[in-house]
Amino acid sequence: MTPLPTPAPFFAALLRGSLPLWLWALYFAFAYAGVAVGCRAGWQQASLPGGASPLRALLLVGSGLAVAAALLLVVRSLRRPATGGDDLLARVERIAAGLALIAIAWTAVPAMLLPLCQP
Amino acid sequence: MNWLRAPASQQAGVLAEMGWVLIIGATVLLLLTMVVLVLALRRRLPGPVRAWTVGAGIVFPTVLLSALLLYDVLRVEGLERPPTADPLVIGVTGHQWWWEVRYHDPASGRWIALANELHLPAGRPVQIGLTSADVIHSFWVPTLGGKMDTVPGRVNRLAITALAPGVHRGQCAEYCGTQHALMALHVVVDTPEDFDRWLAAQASAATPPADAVAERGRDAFLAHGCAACHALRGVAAGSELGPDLTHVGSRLWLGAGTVRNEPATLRRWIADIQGIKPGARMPSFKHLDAATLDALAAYLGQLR
Amino acid sequence: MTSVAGAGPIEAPREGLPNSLPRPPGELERLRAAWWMPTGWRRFSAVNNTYIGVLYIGTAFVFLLLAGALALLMRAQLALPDGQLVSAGTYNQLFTMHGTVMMFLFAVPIVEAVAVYVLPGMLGARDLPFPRLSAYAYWAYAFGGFAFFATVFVGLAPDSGWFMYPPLSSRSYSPGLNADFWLLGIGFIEISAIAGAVELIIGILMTRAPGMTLARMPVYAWAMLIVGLMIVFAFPAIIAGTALLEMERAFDWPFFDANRGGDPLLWQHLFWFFGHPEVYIIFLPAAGMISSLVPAVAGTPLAGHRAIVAALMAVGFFSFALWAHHMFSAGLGSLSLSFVSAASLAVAVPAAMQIFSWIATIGRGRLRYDTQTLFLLGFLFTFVFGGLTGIMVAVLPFDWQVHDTYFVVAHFHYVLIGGVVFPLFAMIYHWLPLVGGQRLDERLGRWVFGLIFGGFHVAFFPMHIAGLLGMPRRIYTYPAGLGWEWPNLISTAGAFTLASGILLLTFDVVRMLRRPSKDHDDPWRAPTMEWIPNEDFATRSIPNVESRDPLWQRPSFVEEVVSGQHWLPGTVTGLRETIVTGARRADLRHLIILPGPGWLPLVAAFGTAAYFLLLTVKWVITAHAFGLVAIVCTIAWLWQTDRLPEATDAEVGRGVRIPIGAGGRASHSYWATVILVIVDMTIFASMAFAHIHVAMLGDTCPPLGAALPAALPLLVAGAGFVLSALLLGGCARPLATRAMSLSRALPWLTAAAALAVAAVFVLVQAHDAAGLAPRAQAWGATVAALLSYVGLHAVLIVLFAGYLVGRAGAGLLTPRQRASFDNCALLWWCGCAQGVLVAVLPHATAWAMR
Repeated sequence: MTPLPTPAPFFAALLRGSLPLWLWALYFAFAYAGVAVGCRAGWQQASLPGGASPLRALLLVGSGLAVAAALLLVVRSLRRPATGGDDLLARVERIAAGLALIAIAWTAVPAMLLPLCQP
Repeated sequence: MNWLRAPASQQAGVLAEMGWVLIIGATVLLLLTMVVLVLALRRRLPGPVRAWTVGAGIVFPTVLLSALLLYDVLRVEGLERPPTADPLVIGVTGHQWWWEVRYHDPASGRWIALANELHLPAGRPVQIGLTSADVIHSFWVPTLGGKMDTVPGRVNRLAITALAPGVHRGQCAEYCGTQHALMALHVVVDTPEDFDRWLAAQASAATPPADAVAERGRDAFLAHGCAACHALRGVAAGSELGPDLTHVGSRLWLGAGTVRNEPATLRRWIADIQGIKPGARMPSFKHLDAATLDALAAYLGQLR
Repeated sequence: MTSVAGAGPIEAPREGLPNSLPRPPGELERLRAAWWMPTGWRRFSAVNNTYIGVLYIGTAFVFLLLAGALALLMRAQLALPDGQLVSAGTYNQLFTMHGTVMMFLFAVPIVEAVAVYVLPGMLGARDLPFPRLSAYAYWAYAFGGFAFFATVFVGLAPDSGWFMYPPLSSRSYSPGLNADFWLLGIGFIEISAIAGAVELIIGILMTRAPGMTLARMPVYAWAMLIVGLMIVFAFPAIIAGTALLEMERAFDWPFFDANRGGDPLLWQHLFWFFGHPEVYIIFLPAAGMISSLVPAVAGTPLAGHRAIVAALMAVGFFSFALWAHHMFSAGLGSLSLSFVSAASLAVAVPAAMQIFSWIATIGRGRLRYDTQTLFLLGFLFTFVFGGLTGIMVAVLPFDWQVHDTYFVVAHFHYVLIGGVVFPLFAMIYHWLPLVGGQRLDERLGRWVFGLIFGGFHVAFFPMHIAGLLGMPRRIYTYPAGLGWEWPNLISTAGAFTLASGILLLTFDVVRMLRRPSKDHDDPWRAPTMEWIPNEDFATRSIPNVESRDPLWQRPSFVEEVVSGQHWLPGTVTGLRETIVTGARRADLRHLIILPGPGWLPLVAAFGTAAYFLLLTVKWVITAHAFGLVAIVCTIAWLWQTDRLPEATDAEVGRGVRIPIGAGGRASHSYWATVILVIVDMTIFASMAFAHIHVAMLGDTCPPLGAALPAALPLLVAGAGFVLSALLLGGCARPLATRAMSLSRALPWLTAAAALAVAAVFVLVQAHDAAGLAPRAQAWGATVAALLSYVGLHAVLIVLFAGYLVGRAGAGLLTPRQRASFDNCALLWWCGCAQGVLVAVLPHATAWAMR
């Protein structure tokens, strides 16, 4: 009979496997709440040099950071070997990173293209 | 599938295009997936397992849905663009279970109240401001575009640029109580000249009774408390509890699209509304004698 | 090699299995005696998962039939234009009840019920970690659910739609008791769901068989784990929402009344933040079941196992961003809605991953065409179809046409019936032998499948057409001449066909269950452990798992487990026991004692159900009498918990000893309480969201006529909460080394509780002095709701203090036995934290709104 498994830190593994999806959740909340708050506060009026609005700038910067962070997580997940005891975790981390990158990129598309607030 | 086959506004045209793309696309995808399943059942599925879990499971949907998303967002952006010309603004307020419609009369500068039927000039952008007097309803005329909820406390906006003259049916699309099912409306698209003529006629006061029967009908209207809910401009200020009847004779349908506006149905509506639309806020007037009912129907019928 | 608590990792005996033959005489008899099932009417006091599971599944199935009957009435009414079968008022009750009963009394309960029955066996545990909690959840659901359904027969059924949008569901437009029955009826489902989530999460993470690492855990268990976590974050939104709507109806606090600063859309946000994850809470278990079924019928391991686990997790996350796609026509603004649209597309990718993994598994196996396989294929076709229409409605402009039409009705029936009911029926054919050993009739099964699959598509496909032709939802009739006649007539024919198939299935199931029980002799040669022969005590020994497909890994595996050669083949203390293992690697941790039969959960459930129902009909005094019964029973039940036997450790294998019980963070009840704390904080967050949402609606914050309280009393109140928390913590310090005495507990806990109560008083006073008028404005109402929630916690704190003083006085609080204290403390601190937050929130919101 094989030796009994040894204890392993659970929450660390949980976080590692789901981190990309938490990044997506944070970005989504930022985008949705940002538009809600920003439209209420009038940030969609163009007032930055170049005719951009603070709200659009905020969305673009936030989206850029989120996409970059998601790419980083994808790269990081590819570096970890997917064999051995942490087999499932490494694979879950990779797929989660990929799915989160897709979801973040897709959320960024309307952030770039659509008018900000109701007239 | 009228909105798919015969879209009658600029916006409805975009929605119809997207509808066909989605219907055809979904059908093709369903067939493809079933072909793959059949191959698997016959143990003839080519390629390594990973080609399917990753290739068909992740790569293929990602590529396809990215394209769909881009298409979707670009079309939405187009729909959201402000109108090129000065839009005609109409107010619509949802009630249980009828539509209050308000137009701005350019001649007098006042807002006039109508009910259950809209007229739009072909080719001109229209902006409908939507709200509700009681619960949430939803304004929807499929051949002219998508739906927009009427929410108490908010004013939502719906843009329609109708293309050619015609008559279109709509129906309330948010469950709003007992008679949600019988809360329809009609939109008549006129040529610009016909529209101006219609608006001027609607802005005028109620047509005076043409004969004795109609005059008896007008007196009956006043005597039996109809003005408690219904306004007749030039005859009774009324209240806004019920639809404005100043030009009810000009409408195609009665009772929010429930029955056609014909003399016999108008009479039946007054006498037995509860039999046709049970639970409606207006009581039946069965207790009136036949002559009075005839007179009322005659009077209201000639209010064009 | 032996080890006890704290001495490092526990290692197995070097050679062979955990235990050897022959087993000592009397071991099996003692095990059977510990797990005795009461007989006769006393059977209702049983709490083990197989008993409760069967009741639970059966009750949910009854609700399927009842709600289905309502649907048949609806379809009969809609078969012809200008239908006269039922009145508008009756029809509106029918569709409201159909939706409510299907979603709340059938769908969520049945997926929980199946897990209650099957999961412990699949995981190698003897029972769920909290058997009495499951029993309580079941009985509350059963009593409450049937009482709620009875409103149909007295014309008091709710009639504002299953999602009950205000203002239609507010007092002015729904003055009768109907809406109140819905609100309070939902309460039972909320209780059952939260209890279910606790059982699932703790059971899956802490009671798996030794060696069942997360990587070896079946996909069905992964699905249920994610579902449990989703319930924790989704249900609180509806708990908060229903509480607010009931407060609006009962006290006239205008959360959703636009005339007084409220917003009907607030309800929609709260409802759908729950409502969308809810449908995945219903679907993911079915996806897990399919992942269990496909390997069994294809005879090959699941392809893409790890990808499916990742996909399930992604669905769990993404589903929380989809709520507003139910509100695409509410006027929220295309940008915000497009974020939600993008997320709705994103969720399709993990769904596709699972589908192609299942197809790939079929492709490399050899399919056996039993009835469950037919339902599997029916599922694949129907669910893919429904998923594709789901992608269509995720596209904003398309939804603007088809929202609230029969197209959407078709879509969700395709994904719910195709995606959940078909897998459930497949699993009935697959798993029924576990219950009584009998298989369902295969010849009848062909008919059952044909009638159900054929009937379903004939019933629901035409609805796509009707919707595209402009037919809205929830209409009791329609006029002739719009082209809606043929789709409706065909739908009705299909609906009755579908119903006949379901009745045929019911008949066969009842017939088979009435036959005498026998052993199932593994009819499908499935790989997972629920198929190991068992009795009331589950399996003879707790399996040692070395593979993802244990029954395929070693031909002798089943024999070894049944003969008692794996872990804990008997009972050490003479009581019911199971093993707690580590969350990730399932290493041995400690033994826990499980309770036996008892009446307290059932009586408490009855009291709870009676309390809510009598309150609805305004029999306030009688309601509180029953409420008192429920509270007393609950306290008595809790009093029995947290008792350890004399022995401190137990031998579970040759020379392998593990501790009995564990304190602090190793305790499974601690983590159950953590889950309750998360639920509590999420309810609080939902109420805080309501406050912020309402505040953002106004031009100023606070709105005209309302005022913020003075800062000093708020600081005092905050300090009071903090001090209460500190005193509680301080009280516990000596508990690390010696038992807590009454002389310590009484003053400390009384002071701590008094501080919390005083803090609440100060808080309420401060707002009262500032002129808080909940009826006048929604802003004030949201503040009052938050204050009420904190007040509720103050009441709980007083109860905790009294309970802990009692336990200390009885000498039951010792360093080894301190779960009562630790768990009460968690909830107490949670209440204090909320108190501080409520003290700060109105000012913070007003400051942000400047």
